[in-house]
Amino acid sequence: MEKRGVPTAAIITHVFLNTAQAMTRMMGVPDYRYVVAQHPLSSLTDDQVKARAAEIADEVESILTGQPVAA
Amino acid sequence: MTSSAERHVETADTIEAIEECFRMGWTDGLPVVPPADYKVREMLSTAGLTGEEELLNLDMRSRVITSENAAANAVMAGCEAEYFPVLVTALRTLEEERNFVNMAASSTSSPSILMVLNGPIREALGINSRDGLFGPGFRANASIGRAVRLCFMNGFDAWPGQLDRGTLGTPAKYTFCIAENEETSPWEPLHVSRGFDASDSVVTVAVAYNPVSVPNSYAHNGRAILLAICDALRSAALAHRYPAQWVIVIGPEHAITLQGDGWTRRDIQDFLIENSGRSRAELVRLGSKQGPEQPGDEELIMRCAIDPNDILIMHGGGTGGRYSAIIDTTGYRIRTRKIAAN
Repeated sequence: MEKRGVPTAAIITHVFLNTAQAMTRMMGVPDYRYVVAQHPLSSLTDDQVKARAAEIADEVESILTGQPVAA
Repeated sequence: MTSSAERHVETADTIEAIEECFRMGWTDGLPVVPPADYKVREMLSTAGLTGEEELLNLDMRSRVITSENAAANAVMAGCEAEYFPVLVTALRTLEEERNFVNMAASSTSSPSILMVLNGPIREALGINSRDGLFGPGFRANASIGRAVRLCFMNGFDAWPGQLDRGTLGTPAKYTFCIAENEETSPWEPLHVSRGFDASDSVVTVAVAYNPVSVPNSYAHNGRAILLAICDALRSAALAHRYPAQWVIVIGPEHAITLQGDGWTRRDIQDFLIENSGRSRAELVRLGSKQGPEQPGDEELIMRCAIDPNDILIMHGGGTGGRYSAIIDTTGYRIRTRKIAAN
């Protein structure tokens, strides 16, 4: 999507880190930024999912805007 | 994949060449046949290919499996040259829906690639459709399925724990290639039911999970056999994929009973859909569907399939036991394609 000009923030969970690294190396973009959330996600309650989202929201925004998030 | 020229290796003897293939990381854990150039050329020549053709492009991994890559993996898998057109057709069939190829090469759910052969090619290549249908003992079944897996591992880096994140994996990832026993089937062959001529040699390709055996030894009527199959279909282990496509392998002794009771293919398909339902609420309670339960979920009956054509009925396996098998598949639409003549 980024190749099409759409700002994109990819989110993975930490158990997929080695896979994400292998994939970005394969795609020739080893420094590609993505957000690493804590695993798991699918077995969380709605409130726990919201808390997870809050934890990573700043980093998602930073990747989408290309700017550091103001403290 | 890099070209074979970049990986050209000289070894003292064949055993050393086999060990070199292990060192290069080209195997599924078992020894492979070293992909000598002349064997690769023989494969390509049998299929009338140059080595340059793109058979399966996985752009989201920046990888393409060319005919030369496929031929090298076919040699390594132990294929005879005349098997190669089956592999070529299967890879091109997967190419028709690339997104699912990535899924097949990575998913935590551990799917494999099922190939079912129909038509004269079964006899020509010696593809087993009878005793030990899914098991070892037949070069064509073993090596054609293995060639697909080696293409995924060597071509798409589908290594366990790396880009293949299958949680449990499956023995079906070593090989998953069978033929239908058309000769003793009570019904028209699978490929004829899917619009091909009986004289066509075809491969049916699915991104599929391991077969689940369904015994029914004691109830000697067709309805009871089908109820046993429904019971397997509606297990929580499988029901989370509802509605889906299925391959149902009816074993010979079950087929005789079903035939005696007058069950047509369409009757069986309709019966399985009608009797495999399970309430959404039950599936939520089993963690098979995402909750929480919604009002009406107790009454919302989910079915294994919606369209009868999404249940592919085929005949295979040995005599002596009263078994059939069910195979659930992913969102990849099962495709049947004619195998190129050369």
